[in-house]
Amino acid sequence: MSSMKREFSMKKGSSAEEGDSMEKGPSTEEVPSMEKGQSIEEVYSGKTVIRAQNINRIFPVAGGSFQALRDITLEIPKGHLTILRGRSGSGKTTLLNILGLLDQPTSGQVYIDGQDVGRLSEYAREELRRKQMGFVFQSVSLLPAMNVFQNVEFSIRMAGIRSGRKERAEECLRMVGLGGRLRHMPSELSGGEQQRVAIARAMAHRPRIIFADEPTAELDSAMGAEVARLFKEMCEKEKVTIVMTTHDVGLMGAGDTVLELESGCLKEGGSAMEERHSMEEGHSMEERHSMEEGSSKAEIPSREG
Amino acid sequence: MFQKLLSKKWMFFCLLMGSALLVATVVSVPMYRGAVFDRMLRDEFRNYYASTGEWPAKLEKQATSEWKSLDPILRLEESMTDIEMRVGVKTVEEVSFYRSYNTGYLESGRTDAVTSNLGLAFLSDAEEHISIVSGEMYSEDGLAEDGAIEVIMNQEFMLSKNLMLGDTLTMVMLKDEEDKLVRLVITGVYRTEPDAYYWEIGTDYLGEVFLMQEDVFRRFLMRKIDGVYSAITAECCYLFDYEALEVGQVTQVADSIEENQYEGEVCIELLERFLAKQPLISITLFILQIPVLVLLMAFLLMVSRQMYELEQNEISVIKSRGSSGFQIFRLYLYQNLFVAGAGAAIGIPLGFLFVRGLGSASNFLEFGLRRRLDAVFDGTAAMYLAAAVAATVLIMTLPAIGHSRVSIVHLKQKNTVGKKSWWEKFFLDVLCLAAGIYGFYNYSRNKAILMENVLTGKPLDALLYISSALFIVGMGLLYLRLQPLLVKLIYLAGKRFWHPSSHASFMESMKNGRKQQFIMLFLILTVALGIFYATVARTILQNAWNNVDYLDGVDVRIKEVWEDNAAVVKTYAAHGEELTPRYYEPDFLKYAGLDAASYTKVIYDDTSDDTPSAHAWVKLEDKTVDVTLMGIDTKEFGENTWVDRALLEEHYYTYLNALADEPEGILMSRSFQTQNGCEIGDEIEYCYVSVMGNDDSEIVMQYEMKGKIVGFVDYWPKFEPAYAAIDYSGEMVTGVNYLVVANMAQLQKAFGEMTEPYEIWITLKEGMDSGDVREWIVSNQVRVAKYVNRADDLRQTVEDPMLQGTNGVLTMSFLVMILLCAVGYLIYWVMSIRSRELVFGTLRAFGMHKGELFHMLILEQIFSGALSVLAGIGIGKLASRMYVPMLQMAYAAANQILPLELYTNGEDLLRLYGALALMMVICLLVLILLVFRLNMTKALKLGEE
Repeated sequence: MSSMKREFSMKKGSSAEEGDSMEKGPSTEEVPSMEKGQSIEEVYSGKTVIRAQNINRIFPVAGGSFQALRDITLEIPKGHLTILRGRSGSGKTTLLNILGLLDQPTSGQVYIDGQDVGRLSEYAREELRRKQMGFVFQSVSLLPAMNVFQNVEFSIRMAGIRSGRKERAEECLRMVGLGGRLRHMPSELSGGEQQRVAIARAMAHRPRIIFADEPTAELDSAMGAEVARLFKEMCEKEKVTIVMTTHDVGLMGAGDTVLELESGCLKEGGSAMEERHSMEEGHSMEERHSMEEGSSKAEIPSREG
Repeated sequence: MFQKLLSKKWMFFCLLMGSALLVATVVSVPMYRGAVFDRMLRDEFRNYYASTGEWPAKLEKQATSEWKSLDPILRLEESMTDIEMRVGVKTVEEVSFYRSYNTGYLESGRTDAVTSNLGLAFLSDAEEHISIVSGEMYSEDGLAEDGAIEVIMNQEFMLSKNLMLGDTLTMVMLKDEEDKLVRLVITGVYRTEPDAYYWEIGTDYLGEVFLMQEDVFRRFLMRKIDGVYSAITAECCYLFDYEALEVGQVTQVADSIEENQYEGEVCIELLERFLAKQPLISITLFILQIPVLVLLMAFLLMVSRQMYELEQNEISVIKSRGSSGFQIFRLYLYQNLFVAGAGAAIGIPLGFLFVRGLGSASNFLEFGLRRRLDAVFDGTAAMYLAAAVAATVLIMTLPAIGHSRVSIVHLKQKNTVGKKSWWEKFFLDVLCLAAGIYGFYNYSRNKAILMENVLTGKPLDALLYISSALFIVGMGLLYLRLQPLLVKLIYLAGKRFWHPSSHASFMESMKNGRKQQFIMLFLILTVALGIFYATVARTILQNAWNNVDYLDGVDVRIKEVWEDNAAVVKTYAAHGEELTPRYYEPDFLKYAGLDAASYTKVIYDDTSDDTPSAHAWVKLEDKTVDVTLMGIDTKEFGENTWVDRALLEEHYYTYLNALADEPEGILMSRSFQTQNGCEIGDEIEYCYVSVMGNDDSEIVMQYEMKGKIVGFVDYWPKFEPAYAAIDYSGEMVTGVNYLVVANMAQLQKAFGEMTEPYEIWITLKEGMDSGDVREWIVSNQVRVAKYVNRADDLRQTVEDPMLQGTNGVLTMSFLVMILLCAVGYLIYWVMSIRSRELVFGTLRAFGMHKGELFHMLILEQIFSGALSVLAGIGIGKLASRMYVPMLQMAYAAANQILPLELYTNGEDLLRLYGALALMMVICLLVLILLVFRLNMTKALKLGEE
């Protein structure tokens, strides 16, 4: 609960100065989740993998409630790399968690492959997460008791795959450039390396959808670009749908679709190109914001050792 | 500081609990010891009084006047004044008895009375302890109107001297101040009124004295008559209240006896016996407490270390901001002083509770004794308290020194995966084991030394006890060394089949298992020591109990006083006449009035009596061998007694039947067979010798009999096959006793007309207690020469301070250990889960079901908890098997007859396992609660900070 509150206050602090520039963002009347030229029929005929409708998420906070998401309706196309952008506190992570079935909306529905997941039991949702989804969290979330290889192999195990685990895990680790460090323990890796292991882990069991929350936050720009390339490649080769949040401008270009969130609302999103354009305008803001965020963290030892 | 304590309230609670328990445990030792010593001291006196009816706290002094002076009597009187102050204990009774002998004549001229050697005496406060049967008490001034001294007499005196009430006598040697002969007038006949204390002065002399008023005695008898004093014997008797006697007064009492030359053999003997037992018990109790004290300290160390680890970040930040290590150290010192102080405040009342628990422990985990112990918090206890508090502060603060040096840089460097523990590198487990096993072999080879220690009253050998503790610790550590291998082995065995959650817990256990070593060792030690303690306590008590049970043979044994005609026979013989010596058999039929279940006559030449009235021997070709002879009625004897099947080769009744089938048959002890080599069917001549009368009129009767051996027995009710004792030179002597059991009828045939004294062996009905028998004895005026009551003896065994204290300490230690273990395990788990919330959040995000998470945690609990418990059980059982027989020997009575057996009580183990199961269930509940409350998104957010 405390982390939620902090996010809330941070949002308030930043919105006052940045509100104006965000208003300038493009706005169209179209249904945001649809790509140009895509029809409703196409969405329901299997090209859209996730559809969210009127999502609201309200968190109780001390002395009231805080609405993190407001009436969000969107669609995530299959095999695309969809980017959620927005400032800290805009609700990206909350939305990602809801789409990834880690959290439940206060109201509204999430459909995956046309199925209302709100109607599924917790068990079924867990099974869905386990077998069809992969996650990369902003925080380092490797299991400290397992080495690099075991961490990756474990997600394949979890998905119930019995054969070829070793080869697949090694392959994924090679893809993220850690093929030579299979036996290292997470605590022996740098933050960036750990995040790459997390990415390898997220894709190892060949999920249909990967959710990545700021996967490049801890990486240098070259590595960030490499991750973007990797994601792109995965979308194309393995037909994986990827939803990621980021504020890395370099990555925006990789996105097939870019959706922007502001104060819990979805701003009208156009093509990737439009998004990239608007992004450049807001860039300095984003940077400034991330610096502020950085300064508040200064006392805690950096994970990048 | 207080805010800090509040924020870590559970840690604080644990530290507080640990320090309170430490204080309570430490303080309870001197308090219990003080109270139990008081009780033990009183018991020495009480038991003596109960068995002899003689007040043991009696100091006497006697003096006789000299021709020319009364100095001896004056000195006596001087030493008896303020005796209560000199001895220092409350008086129960003080009696003086002065007497002098004189001759007179009856004024009436009657000549049929004996008027020589008339005792004149006074008995202080006699009027309160006698009653007048006829006539009157002497008057207040003790003189009749005509100046004659008023005296009273008892019936015995009246009859032996043939005097009559109202007789007046003139004493021929006694003169009053006016030189006139003193006259006596008998005003009354008295009898003594029963009084527990007063007649300790003795009533033997009352049959030869007139009693008069004290002042009159002093006036007429304690004066020079014709230049000399009459021969006066003064006897003073002082009885103090042993119930008020405290351990601290023992030396004063002993010193005052020596200084004033009081006679008090019994009192001195009892005091000496007590002083001899005291160090034995002190040391034993202390040794027994060592393990729990060590565990308590380890607990405090563990919790405070955990607390420092939690605060490590905080400490390093403070440190990096420029606080000196000393400042941090001081902060923790104050905090720990506060905790220790609060611990002491709780610990002292808890200590009183402990003493109550200790004192009422009738067996392991049983608090059945109702006798209260009056615990006092005295100077010694205060000293122990100070030591406990100091130790607590030290233990809690020491880790701070290390931590206050840690700056943020060190911390980062240190956060790497755990390496081998220091004890693993130094092979502490192997060393402990080696020392423990060495101790075991050393003692098992030198059992005789142990035996000798018991006989000479040396305390429990600390090394023996410590070697058992070292063995347990060594085994525990060895298990910890092997445990990761064990887990790995299980993992590898099913590597391909493990469920992901099992896989995760294997990984966790293999990688981070070392972090759990401390709590695992704790668990192992608790279980192992628990089993060991339960076995020690049960075994010691049960063996002592069985021994008493066996040696007493039956519920109640009574041997009455048998009158005989030996004196008359001697007188006849002096006149050349012959009279058959005979015993006057006490009325046997009266036992039908005792509402017992059954009883039987047993002839028994009990050579362990101080003055045996009979003994027996067996004639062999070249020698005679002393034996104990027992004459029984097989059927009745079998109904009243029992020997455990395990002690005999065949069923007890098989032997009795064999004896019943052969009128001339005898059963012999196995020892006789092994030493003298005879076989079943051999005919043997044996002899029973009975001694009648006393020294002056001793008549010895000898009966020779033949018997055919029908069986050899290893054990027989009341029979001691072997003995061990310390002779005058202090050397231990051991030997064997022999037994011959014959048919009562056969013996009777040999006795002929004579009825030889026998004992009555009684089995009581259920619900009847020893008090009923005693009442019956009193109300039937049975004159008892020997009285054995098994219930009383068993009670005394249980209440023996050494056994009882051992039980108490072991029980309390066990309870404290369980508590520590439960709390320790619980905090460990809560801390461990808390610290891994991020991991659980991640796993849940990956779609791990809650059930699988439980699965994983339960498996981890099995690796750390359940396996440790199993190891503890194994180690405890092994250690019990190895060391308990030796420990038990240190407690065994000198007359431990039965073979030692290990006893464990299923209930104890159930209780132990129950406590552990409860602990695990609570852990599980907490676990479930934590997992259910685990908020996935929140847990993942935690990682973002």
